[in-house]
Amino acid sequence: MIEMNNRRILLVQFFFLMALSLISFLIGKSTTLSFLFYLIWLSGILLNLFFIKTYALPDYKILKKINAVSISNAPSWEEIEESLSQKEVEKLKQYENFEQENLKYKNLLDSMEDPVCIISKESMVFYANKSFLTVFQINEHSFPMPLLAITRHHEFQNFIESSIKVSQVSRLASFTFNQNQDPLKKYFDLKISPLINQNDYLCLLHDITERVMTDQIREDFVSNFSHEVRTPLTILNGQIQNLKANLEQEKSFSSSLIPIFYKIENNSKRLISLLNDLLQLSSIEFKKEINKEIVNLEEVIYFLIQDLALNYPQKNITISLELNKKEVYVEFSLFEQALINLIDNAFKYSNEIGSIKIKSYQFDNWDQIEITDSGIGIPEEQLHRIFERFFRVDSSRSFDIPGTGLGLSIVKHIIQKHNGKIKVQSRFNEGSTFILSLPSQSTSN
Amino acid sequence: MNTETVVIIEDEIEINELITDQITQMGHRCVSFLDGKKALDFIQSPECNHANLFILDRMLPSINGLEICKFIRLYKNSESIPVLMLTALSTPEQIVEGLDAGADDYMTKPFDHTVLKARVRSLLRRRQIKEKSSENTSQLQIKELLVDLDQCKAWIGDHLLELTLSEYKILCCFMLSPGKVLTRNQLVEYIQDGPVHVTDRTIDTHIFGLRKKLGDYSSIIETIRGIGYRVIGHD
Repeated sequence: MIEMNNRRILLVQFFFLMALSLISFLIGKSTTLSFLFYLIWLSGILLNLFFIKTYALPDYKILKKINAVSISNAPSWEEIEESLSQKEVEKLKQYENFEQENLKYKNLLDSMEDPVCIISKESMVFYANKSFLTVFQINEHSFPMPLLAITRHHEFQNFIESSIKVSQVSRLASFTFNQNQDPLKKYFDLKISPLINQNDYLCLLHDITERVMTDQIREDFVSNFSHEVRTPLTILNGQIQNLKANLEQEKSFSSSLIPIFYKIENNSKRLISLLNDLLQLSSIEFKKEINKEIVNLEEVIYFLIQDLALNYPQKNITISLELNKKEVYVEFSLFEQALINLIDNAFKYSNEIGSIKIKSYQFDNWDQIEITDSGIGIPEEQLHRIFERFFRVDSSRSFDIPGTGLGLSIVKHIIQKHNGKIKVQSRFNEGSTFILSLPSQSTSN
Repeated sequence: MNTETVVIIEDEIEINELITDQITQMGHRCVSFLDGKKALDFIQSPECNHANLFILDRMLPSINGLEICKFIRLYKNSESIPVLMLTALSTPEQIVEGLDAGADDYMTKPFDHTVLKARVRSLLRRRQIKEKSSENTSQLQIKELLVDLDQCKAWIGDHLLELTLSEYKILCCFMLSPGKVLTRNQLVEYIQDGPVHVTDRTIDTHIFGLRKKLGDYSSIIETIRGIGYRVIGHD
C-alpha cells in the first residue's frame, strides 16, 4: 500500500509544477525564447521526478512482492494508526486506574491510626503512611531514608535487622519512642512481615500507649488502694483487740459478748486475707516477665509440708511422696506460692484422718506434679468453675472451711505465667487430684 | 523486767497511738515521732543513747523509712539498736529491700497485737544477748544447741554435729542474730568465699541439709517465704 501513496505524491507534485510553469508562461510574454525556457524547465522537472522515482523511492517490484507476502487481512494504515492511538489511550487509562488504585491504598494506609512503613533489606524506608510521618515528624519527600535516621533508636533498629535476617512472617515487641516535641512516651507493638517480592518488608507499629497507661493506672490504683486500705484496717484490727483485752478484764463484761467479738475479729481477719489474696493475684497478673531457675522439688515440698502441717495440728494426715522428677524450671517464689495454695487446700479439705500423695514425673516435654488428697472432693457440676475468682464450692461453705475463693485462681495464673497447664480430677466425698504441667527446661529454652 | 526505751516513727497518728499503747502496756517507755525529719534529729541527739529499739514505718513524709533505717545503721550511736520495720508494702521484694537496708525484722500492716508484742520482746532480748555475748564471743547457745566459734564446732547436748563449712557458717550467722530475719542475699554474702558462685537456691539447699542434721532442733529455723530465714530465739 505504501508505493501507491508515493505515486500519488509524485503525480500531484508533477501536476502542481506543470500548472505553476503554465501560469508563469501565460502571465509572461509568450515568445519563442520563453517557450524554450518553459520546455527546459519542464524537462528539468521530469528529470527531477525520474531521479526521485529511481533513487529516493523503494523499488516498485520489491514493494509489490512485500505486499504479496503480507497477510491478506493485514490492517490498513489507517487501522494501524487507529490501533496505535487506542493503545496509548488504553495505556493512559491503565495509568489512571493505577493512580486511582494507588490513591485508594494510600488513603487506606493514611486513614490507619497505626504507623506503617515499607523498608528494604538494607533498612531503608521508602514508603510510610501519614501516621508514621506524624509520629516521627518527617515529610514524605525525604524518602528513601535510613530507618535509624528516622527513629534514632538502636534497639529498634537491631530488632528490625534481626527480624529481617531470619525473614520470618511476623514478630512482636514493644518499643518506646520519646520524641522531642512530644513529652508523652509512646509505646508500640511491632510486627514485621516480608512482602511478596521478599526484598521489602512491611513494618507495622501498633500504638499501645493507651493500654500501657491503663495498666499503669491500674497498677498504681492497686498499690495506692492497698496502702490506703491497710491503714484503717490496722487501726480497726488493733482497736478491736484492744477493746477485747480491756473488756475481758472488766467484771461486768458479759460472756454473751465474747462470740460477737470473735465474729468481728474473724471477719476483720477475713478482710485482711481477702485484701492480701487480691493484691497477690493482681501482682501476678501485672508481672511482665518471670525469672526462671532450676528448683529442687524435694526440698521445696519437704519444707512446705513441714510448715503447713503445723497449721492443722488436729488432723492426722499421712503424706507420701513419689518424686521421680527431682527438678523443675520455674520462678521460685511464684511456684512455691502455687504449691502452698494446693498443699494447704489438700490439708484444709481433708477429713480428720486422711492422706496426701504428691507425685512428680516427666511426660513428653512436660514436668508434671500431681497432688492428691482424700478430702471432701468437688461435685462434678462445679468442677469447671473452681478456678474462677471468688468461686467457692458449696460444700466448703457449708462445712464452714475458711477461705477467700482466690487461692486456685492464683495457682492458675501462676501456672499460666509459666506457659503451663493445670487440670483437676475429683470425686465428691472421695478426694481430688490437681495435676500441674510445666514445660521442662529443655523446651522452656 | 527492765524498762526499755522504744522509739516509734509512724506518721499515721492513730497507728502511732495504738503501738504506743501496746508498748506502754508491756512496761516500756515510748518516744514517738510523726515524721522522718524529727526522728533523724533525735537519732543524732545524745538522747538516742538510751534507745533500745526502733519501730519504723516505711512510708513517711519528707524522709522515707528506708533512708532512716540506712542512717540508723551508719550512725555510730544507733548502729547496734535493732529496727522493726512496719510496712504497708507487702510484696517480698519490698520486704527484702527493707531488711537489706538494715532492718532486723518486719511486720506488714495490718498486724496482730500479740505478734507485735512478741517481736518487740524478741528484739529487745536479742540486744541483751548481744551485749552479753560481746563479753564472751567464743560460745553461742540456744537451748541445748551450742556453737563454739574458737573450735568451729557445734553440738546438740553431747552430740557433735558433722556440718559442712557452709552449713557451719550459716548456723553461726543465725546464732549471732537470733530473732533477726536474714534475707537470702545477706546469707549469700556471709558464706560467699572464693570463686564458687552462691545463689539463693544454694542457700536453700544448705538450710535443707542443716535442718536434717539439726533433727529435733530443725524447727528453730523458721522459713519466711519469699524473704529468708530466722532463728527463733529463746522462747
